[in-house]
Amino acid sequence: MSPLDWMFLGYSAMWAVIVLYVANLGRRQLAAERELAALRAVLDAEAAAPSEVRPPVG
Amino acid sequence: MQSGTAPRSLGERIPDWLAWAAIAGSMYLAFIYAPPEQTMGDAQRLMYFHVAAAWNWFLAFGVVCVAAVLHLRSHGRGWSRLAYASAELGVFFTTICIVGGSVWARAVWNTWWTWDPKLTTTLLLWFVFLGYLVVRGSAEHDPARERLASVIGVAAFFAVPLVYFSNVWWVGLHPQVVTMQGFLMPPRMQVALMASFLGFTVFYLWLLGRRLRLVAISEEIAALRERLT
Repeated sequence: MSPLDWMFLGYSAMWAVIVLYVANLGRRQLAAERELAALRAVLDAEAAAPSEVRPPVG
Repeated sequence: MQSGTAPRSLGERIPDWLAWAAIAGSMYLAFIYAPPEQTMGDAQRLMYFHVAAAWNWFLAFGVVCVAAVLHLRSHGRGWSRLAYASAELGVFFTTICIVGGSVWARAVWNTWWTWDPKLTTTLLLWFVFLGYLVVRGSAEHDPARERLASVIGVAAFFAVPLVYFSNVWWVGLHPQVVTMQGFLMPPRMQVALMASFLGFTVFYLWLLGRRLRLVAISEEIAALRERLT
């Protein structure tokens, strides 16, 4: 392989690491934001109708 | 379709474009502006990203150390979050550095890996901070475990000067392009390398912002779950 081939191989490998990490970070962030929105919706529903979600004890 | 997240405005996207533009600009200088090296040819251009990634893990692990010390002193959880986010990025940049360096070594030394002092200490550093990530990742709101992670973060930082001075203390093959006396290369190569440093630093700061936001959201999710149970 020529030095130019090694250069392209090296940059491709480094870019693969960069793209995989950034894509994974974006996926985790999106999943976390959706879960947070879902949990907030549950809490809002609970606050709006507390007796239906949690009946008073006693 | 339920996405659960609001679309981001143009203003919120500017840092994204800035980070990618910084990397693209440094690549342009590395590929086009910098001259080819006489003996290694174009394979030497791998040095620009490799050294810039090395600079970034120095920076990232430095931030871990400072944030961990401040966490131990003040018990502020924000410092612990910062150390956690920066440690992950440090491991990420160390991975880039090892991968790029390995291809360069195959082109120039005719081997993918050798137990040179700099390579060995870098691998050691990578494993040490992976250990930190495991401990901090399993803390789950436990202040004692967060403090333990911070102690590990401070102790792990001692591996950083070990990597830098490994070539001075032990005989090795790894070239030293950034020394106390400056950069050992022609001016156009220096400009390309400085641009790579700058580009990668902007990229690190952008990733740090995103990673910190993820840590904050994850902690808010854990707190809301506790309220619901």
